[in-house]
Amino acid sequence: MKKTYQKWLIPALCLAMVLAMTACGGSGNASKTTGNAPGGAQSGDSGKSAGNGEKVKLLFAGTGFSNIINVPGHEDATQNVGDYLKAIANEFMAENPHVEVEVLVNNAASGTTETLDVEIASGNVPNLFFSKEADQSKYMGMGMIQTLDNYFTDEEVTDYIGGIMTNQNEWRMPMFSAPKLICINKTLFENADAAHLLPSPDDRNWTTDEYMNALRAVNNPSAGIFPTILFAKTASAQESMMGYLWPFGARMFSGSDLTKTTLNSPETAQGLAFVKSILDEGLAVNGPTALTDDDMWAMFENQTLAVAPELPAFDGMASSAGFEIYYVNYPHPADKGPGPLWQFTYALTVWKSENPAEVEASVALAKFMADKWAVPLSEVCGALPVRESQKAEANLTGELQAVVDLVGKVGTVGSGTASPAYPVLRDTFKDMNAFLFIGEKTPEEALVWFEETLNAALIR
Amino acid sequence: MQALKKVVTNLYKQRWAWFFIIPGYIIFLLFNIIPTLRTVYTSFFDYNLATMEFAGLGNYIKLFGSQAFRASVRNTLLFAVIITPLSTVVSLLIATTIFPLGNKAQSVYRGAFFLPNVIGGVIISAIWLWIFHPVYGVLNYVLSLFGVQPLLWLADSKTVIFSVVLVIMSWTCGSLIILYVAGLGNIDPCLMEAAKIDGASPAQVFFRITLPLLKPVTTFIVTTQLINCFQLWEVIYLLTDGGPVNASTTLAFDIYKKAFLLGDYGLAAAEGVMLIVLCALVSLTTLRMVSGKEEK
Repeated sequence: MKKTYQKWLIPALCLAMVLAMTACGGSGNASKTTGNAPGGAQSGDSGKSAGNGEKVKLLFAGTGFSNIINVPGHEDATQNVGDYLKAIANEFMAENPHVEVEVLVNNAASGTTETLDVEIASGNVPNLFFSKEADQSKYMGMGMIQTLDNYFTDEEVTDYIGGIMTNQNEWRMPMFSAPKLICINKTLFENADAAHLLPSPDDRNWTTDEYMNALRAVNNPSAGIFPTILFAKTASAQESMMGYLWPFGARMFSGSDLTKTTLNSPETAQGLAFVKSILDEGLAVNGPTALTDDDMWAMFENQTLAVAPELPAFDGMASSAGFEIYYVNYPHPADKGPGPLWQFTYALTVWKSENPAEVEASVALAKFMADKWAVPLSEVCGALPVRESQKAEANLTGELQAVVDLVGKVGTVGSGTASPAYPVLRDTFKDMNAFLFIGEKTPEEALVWFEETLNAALIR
Repeated sequence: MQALKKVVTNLYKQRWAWFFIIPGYIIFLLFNIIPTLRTVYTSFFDYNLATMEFAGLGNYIKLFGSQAFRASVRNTLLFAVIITPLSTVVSLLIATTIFPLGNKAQSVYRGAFFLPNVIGGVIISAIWLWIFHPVYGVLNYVLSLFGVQPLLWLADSKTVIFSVVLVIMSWTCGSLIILYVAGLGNIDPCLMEAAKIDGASPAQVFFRITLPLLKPVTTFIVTTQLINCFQLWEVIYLLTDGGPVNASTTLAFDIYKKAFLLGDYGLAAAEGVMLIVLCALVSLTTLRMVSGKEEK
């Protein structure tokens, strides 16, 4: 009798505890299932005031980019990664005492938004999120983002350069942006007596033949100097690889139709063949499927890499390391003109809330950040202001001003960052490059694979 | 009433046992049982943080149609089949080599071999990332001294599995060596002496006496190494990111990608369930094989 009841007591106790705790987790989950109606997403329940209109508590999430430290004018308050978010929150709260802002720093090192995702899964949905645009679109696809159409005047919208912001289903507020282009260590070219092979400062464009000649001239493996680098280990910075394709006429999507990719084209195949030729001729660091953009940054800083396809963010590094930086466009085929540049945009999104006061306060915080912090943040990121009214404020170096002029001349191109499946797109593009670099597929085969794989994900 | 009184009395008598068991039990429930049950539950839903719609077996059907999943299963089993016997044999050989040494020498070697275990997988992987570097790596430098062309250790699908196995071996063999040395210490030296007196060669002593007596340790090592192989994540994440093109992806890593890259938590949960099932099947089969041999 004793052994019988003991035999059943323990499993019965366990089952009871499990059922009790699973039931608690289940009811927490049920609140999320009601959140897919527009405006119905919960703003989290961890101590936020209900909408009585008097006091508002916001959760301000942002990515802790490693280069956003020592922000000009706020050096003391931005010594560590992620501090800039707290500094913005503190300044905003000082001007708006009825608003309490809690900060959540998304870990940038993982290259994903897993920190934020875990918080959302626990019920802590943010009111604002600042990160690169590519991180934000998936939440837009989940229906969590508030459209901003009713919160901006026409004057505010037209202040944005090149129609980068509209008043039609606008889901993000651009802060600043920078194009992906070719960054050159001009000192290495001068040391190799090859500086004359670079594009002229007035033009900054060159053909693929001119590009290859320049790479060959600076190639010096015995001295540890590599012309350029290709990378396909992770999805990080794959837009740098995409940049080689735009001048050939490749386009990721057709207009605003993000339901199927148009990258599989003869033009793109030519572009991929060109990229492969850089590797085949030994003009790129060997083993690209084991390399990342971190390797590119490290080698560029060590002055063992002459050409880096990246954002124009090397001015500070160049002056510290003692070399001259020079920004130019990606090479274009001789029978085509200079290609457009892809813009890396940092943006803010306001998230839906059942409490209209929270949305109002979130928009106010977003505008505060755009007005007071966009310019100093753009400086540390090596990026450019996206508003006409901020151009004069920006402390652009000569090279960055040249980049602004270049973008104005050649225009910009999109890669589908507004697609909720953009993380899948980048990862699939990385795998396509990997197939190409290890020789498992030809450019045509790789593009067919890319199209089939991505379109299947876009349908989902 | 009498029965209830008996229950209460016995519980009171065993109160200290319950006092010590319950905290651990609660932790086990909170961090193992409940998350596992939630994972099974989530695997039947289409869940992307915002919405949760019942999908039935949809996630499982999608999973078996996924090339990345098939590659993950293949690679995970490959790692298990290669790493488990290799690490067991290598650890045993090292343990039998250092065991006869004096206490001090043995301590030095044990400490040296165990150090990678203490450092952890992340730092080990970061170190090996530099060792394998296609340009600056010391391995390629050593090869160049012998006139051999540099190898793309992590960049080539032909060498990536071998490279990962090397890293895992360097990381995990230390603890296995410690276990084997302890196991060797538990063997009565009289048995060896008696065998030697009877004319047994060192090989016969090893295979007929030492190895059979180390069976419990070997069973434990094989089972835990198998389970570790199924949980490979940080080494893959840092060294290869599952590439090139899924050539080194594992189930644990693919689960991470499906959850945090694709945002498909239901699909990731389904893959998690498959990982549990596969791990249980392999472990039970191995245990049965070993215990079956013992009974014979």
